[in-house]
Amino acid sequence: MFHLKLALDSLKKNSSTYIPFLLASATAVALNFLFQLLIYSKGVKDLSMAEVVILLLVLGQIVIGILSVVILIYTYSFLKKGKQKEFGLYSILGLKKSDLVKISLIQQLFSFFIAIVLGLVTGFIFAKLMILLLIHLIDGTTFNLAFSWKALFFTVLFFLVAFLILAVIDAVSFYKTNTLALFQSEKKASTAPKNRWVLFVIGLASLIVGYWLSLTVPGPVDAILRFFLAALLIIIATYFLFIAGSTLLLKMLQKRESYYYKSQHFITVSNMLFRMKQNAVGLASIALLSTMTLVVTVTTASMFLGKTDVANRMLPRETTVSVSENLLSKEKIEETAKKHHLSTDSFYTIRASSKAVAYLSKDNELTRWRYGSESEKKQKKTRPGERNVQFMTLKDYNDLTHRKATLDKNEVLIYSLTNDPGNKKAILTPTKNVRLNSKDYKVKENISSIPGIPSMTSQLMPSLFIVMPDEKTTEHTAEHYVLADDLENNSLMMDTFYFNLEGKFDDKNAFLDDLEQSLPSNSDSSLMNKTILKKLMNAFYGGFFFIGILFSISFMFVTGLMVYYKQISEGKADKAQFDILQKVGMSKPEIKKTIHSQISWLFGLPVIVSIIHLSFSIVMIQKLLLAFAIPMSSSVYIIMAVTVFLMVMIYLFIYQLTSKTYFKQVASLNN
Amino acid sequence: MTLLSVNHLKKEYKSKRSSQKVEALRDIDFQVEEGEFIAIMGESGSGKSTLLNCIATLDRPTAGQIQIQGRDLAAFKDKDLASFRREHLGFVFQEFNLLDTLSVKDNIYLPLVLSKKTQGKEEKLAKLAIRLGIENLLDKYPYELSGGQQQRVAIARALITNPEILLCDEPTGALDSKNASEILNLFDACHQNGQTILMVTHSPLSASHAKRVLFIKDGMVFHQIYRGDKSEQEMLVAINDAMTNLLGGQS
Repeated sequence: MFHLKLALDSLKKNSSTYIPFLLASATAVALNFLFQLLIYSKGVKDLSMAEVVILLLVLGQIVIGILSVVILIYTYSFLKKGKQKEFGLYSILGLKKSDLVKISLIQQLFSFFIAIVLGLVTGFIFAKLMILLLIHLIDGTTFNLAFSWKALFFTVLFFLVAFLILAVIDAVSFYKTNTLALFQSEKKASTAPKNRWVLFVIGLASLIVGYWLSLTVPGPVDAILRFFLAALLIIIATYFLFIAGSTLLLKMLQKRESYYYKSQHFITVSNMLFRMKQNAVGLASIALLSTMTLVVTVTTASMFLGKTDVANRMLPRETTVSVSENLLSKEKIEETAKKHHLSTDSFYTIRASSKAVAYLSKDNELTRWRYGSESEKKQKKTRPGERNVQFMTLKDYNDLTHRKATLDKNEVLIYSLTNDPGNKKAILTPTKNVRLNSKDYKVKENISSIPGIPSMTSQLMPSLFIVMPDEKTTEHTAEHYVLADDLENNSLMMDTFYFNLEGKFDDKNAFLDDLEQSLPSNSDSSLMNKTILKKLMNAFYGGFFFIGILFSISFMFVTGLMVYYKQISEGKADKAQFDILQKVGMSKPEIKKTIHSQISWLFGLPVIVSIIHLSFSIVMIQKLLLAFAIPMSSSVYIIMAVTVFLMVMIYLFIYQLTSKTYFKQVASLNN
Repeated sequence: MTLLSVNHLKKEYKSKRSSQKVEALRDIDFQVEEGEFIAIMGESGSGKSTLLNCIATLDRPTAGQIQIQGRDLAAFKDKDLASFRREHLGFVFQEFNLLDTLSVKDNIYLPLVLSKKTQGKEEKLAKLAIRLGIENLLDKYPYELSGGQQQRVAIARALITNPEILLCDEPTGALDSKNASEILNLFDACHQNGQTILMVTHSPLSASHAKRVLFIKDGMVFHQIYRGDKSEQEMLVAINDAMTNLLGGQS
């Protein structure tokens, strides 16, 4: 009873740090619970590509989990500072260290219960709200998110452990320090920072290498690995440069007398020097969190908003049906459509060879791709050479385009397709000569677009469309590249029908099923419908965007907390200083101006750094987007600008909210 | 010539918790001549710090008048007070009040920088540093210094603007006796240079260095002693007698 009273009393006295700590813990619980609920929810399992989404959620849960523990310890350190003085007093009054541990345990359990109850309730409500957003994003109608005991159990267990860690931290500090040190723990003089050239040089080097890596990333596949390496280097650089670079810069300013000995710089520069020493780590963390928020938001939002464009480019008409030559006819398709109450229009057909994978060497020779062979291994090393190839006769090409192109016997037309239509030059395309099936051809023209043929592919592998002079050469060449076993049940040439379908979604589904049934069971066919594709894409990219939003919310929350605690701890330290300045002859408005310029530096710096980081990561983001089949369009810049604007607004809002506590700490200025 | 004149000064505080007013100064009346070294004594709560704050323009009196070189302090606007404080007054505090984020040199330059009068600061500093014996400390930080050294730096900061009056609030309160007597000797030396000094203290030893001692009790000037040609020892005895009287409550 006695211990309980002391425990609660001490929390009450430290309410200015305790309440934010409780809120932080409750929010951490809520976020973790939300992720757990999603991982176990039936709704996620029912999503198309559920495994990918669940994997992402689990990864997210790990990040959020680590972040939660860090935040708990960080916010607790402020509460601990205030509590330690009291514990020192209890100790002087004769409480044993084991009593102190008991009190601390009671406090942790008390905090744990409040945080868990608050967090679980708000987490569940928040989850229900977020589900509404998710349903909207993925164009769904319902999403099954039920209460799950597993999720609850995991969350409770996780935080029980986390709070026990806090009790252990307390116990360690009780046993390590003596009574008097506990009592005086609040006072600690800081010393002037020293120049740390080594840290600075390492930081600068990692920054340069990190930026270089992200600017020169070659292809989407390498982007993911590089991304982690570059991110790691930039994280190191940010910490080191905030710690060492700021000191160097400020000391340099101090040496410039004409600048330093001005009333508006004098106090600010010398204060910042000490301030940066205490805050470098915090500021660097804020800068990195903001960068993460920006990168995650920009990437996922670009995916989500870029997907329509992709669908339109991949499918020139609403429906594409590709089958072996002469298996289907326009009449048959129209008949089937009518059966399903659908109407068709804007019909056209393309005849071309089936697709084959080939390898384009540096001297423009296309060789056959052999799986598992020696040459495949050799070819793999020079990966950029992989190409999808398709062949078409000149007659079919002229029929399709209404052109009257002519080709000599040894001439071809080439049309190349990538997953990044705005950036064709990045891919090697034969422009003068090409060697096909050991015969040399002259490239008469590189066609920039063929109406009716998709203008982009969703695959990482670029495609080459080669128009050959006559039927015989086309078939003969195609045969060389298309694998023999692929041809067993299929003809070499394929018919592709493009048309728009009007009607209900379910009817379209049934129509495609019906059409597929009517084809021989093992024939090589592909049926795609834009409406259905868009629905699939919505689920996939919507899921990404949703997780991106969750991440951003979590990062924002962490940033807000750090800003708040910085304000509290600094307000206390600054009060004495501003009292002195006032006595020495600085007017209140001057002092307020100094405070503002200091604070705006401290707050502006992380935002500026994160925007610089973001701009250096644009190339990387572009390649990452390509890895997920979304080309970067100019809309990405708009998304980026909007995201930066939103983040700055939220950051300013947090700042406004928390700077009130700061000015309360230096309140004597206001009387 | 009269440098500072305090006429019928009254200061009341409103207590935060009750509406009752607390009278810190009732009716203070005295003059300080140019070049005088004057000490104001009184027990804790006698109002001596309030008096100093009023003279220092950190606080405004409820009634009465303070004139420095004939200028009425009440006539100044708030924003002009800060610059007045910088240019005409020098401060030395019990707790030194040096800024830990500034080096010793920069702490001393602070008032000059604030008044934008940094021209020739090096020569001013060099002279003061020798007088105060802090030449070797200039590049250190306050937290690296002993109490006595910190107080010397604080005095240098107060003197660098050549203030008309040096205001001292318990300048030896946080020092051991050896350091305290060194600081008091410094004040003597300043006084001999013609510096006007007004010191608030409850230490008879500190007060015995002054040429005149005012005793304050219950917000009024209760008594004063001129040193005349008394030695420091004799002055100390006189002050102690006066204090005994003061505490005995006989007027």
